[in-house]
Amino acid sequence: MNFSDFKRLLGADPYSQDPGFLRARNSSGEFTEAAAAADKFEHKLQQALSLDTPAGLQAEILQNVHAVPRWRMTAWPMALAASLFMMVGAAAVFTWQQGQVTDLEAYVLNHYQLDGNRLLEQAREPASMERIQAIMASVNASTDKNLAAQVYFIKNCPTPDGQGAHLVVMTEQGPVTVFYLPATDIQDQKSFEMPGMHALLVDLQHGAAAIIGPSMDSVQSVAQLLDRGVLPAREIHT
Amino acid sequence: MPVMNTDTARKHRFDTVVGQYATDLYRYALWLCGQDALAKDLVQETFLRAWRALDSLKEPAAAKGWLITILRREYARTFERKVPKFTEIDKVVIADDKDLSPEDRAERGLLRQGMMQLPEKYREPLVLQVVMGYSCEEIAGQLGLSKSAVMTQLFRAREKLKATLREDGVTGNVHELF
Repeated sequence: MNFSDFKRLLGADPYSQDPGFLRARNSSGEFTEAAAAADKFEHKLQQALSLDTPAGLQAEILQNVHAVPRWRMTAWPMALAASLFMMVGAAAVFTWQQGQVTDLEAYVLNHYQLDGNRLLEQAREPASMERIQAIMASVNASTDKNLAAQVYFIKNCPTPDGQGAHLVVMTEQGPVTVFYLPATDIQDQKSFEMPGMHALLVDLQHGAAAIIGPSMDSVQSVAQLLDRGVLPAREIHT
Repeated sequence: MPVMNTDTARKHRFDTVVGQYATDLYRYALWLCGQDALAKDLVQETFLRAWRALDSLKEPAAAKGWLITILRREYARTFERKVPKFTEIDKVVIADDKDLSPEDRAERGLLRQGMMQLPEKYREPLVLQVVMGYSCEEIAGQLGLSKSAVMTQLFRAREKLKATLREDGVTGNVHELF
């Protein structure tokens, strides 16, 4: 193996176990020097790519997976078909009603179809204040105690403008889903219908939110709760 | 009772897979999409689908490739809906960062920035190789490319990262690499 071939392989696959490559690695002169420099670079690269993982990642995965009811496991193809049917139907109804779907509305529709129902099933008891404040702090916000008392599920989620939060807020009419959008600017409040659901895009005193619930009353009540209860990160009221 | 034993064994098998691959899969997802929340969602959805289809996994050794395939498919679906903004890697804390010298920390920062700026066609094979421990043949199989194409992409990815360090590097350590 000549030096040019060696350098090319070293740059593409420094882990190569090719016998000719390994022999060249351990030969003398420019081969050894190039290999040493490549090893040093590779070590730095490995360190740079080893991003820290969120605390409790594995536990959270297992909890979420094992929380899904058994019938959903066995009946998932039917559930998938139903979801697809609902999604197509929702998109058709939505497009027909609104004329044109904005990026934010499409995000709400897609996001809810992706995991809205699944996460509603996990909202069985109030979330801990510690978890609520940790998630809200990660998006530079906090909640007052009235809102926190009604939060039954919370996690970070992607939004069109960066990281946000996915909450399930319990109301007298049932659970209501909230996508908290800390960096989104909603100029005009807008409501729209999804099959079996009512949705509202609303600007809050701190950030904005998309709210999806079983009735417009429940959605409006959560909008008021959020407007009062979502605060900047430093104003923590317990 | 046999049903319970089967269920318990299935659960144990799945929990082992999560324990083995969750961390690397999260890192892979994060380098792929650049958003912490989306990466977590992708990994969660991947394992949810893996749990449903666990009985189709006959060879434990194939689990890693199987999970990557599921995750890439999920990511493609997300990508179809909306192109994620690759913006948040620099907010993710690096393990053991505080033990580094200022020079090493600067180099690590430059490498991460360089990775963020790499086109996906260079970034993904490099992550598969360095984070997931894939060989060039395995990367080629996963990405549906020829081995020579993968090797070209890997070579160029490293060259671009080294160029980033050369352009921006101000520390003595950087120059030892070239």
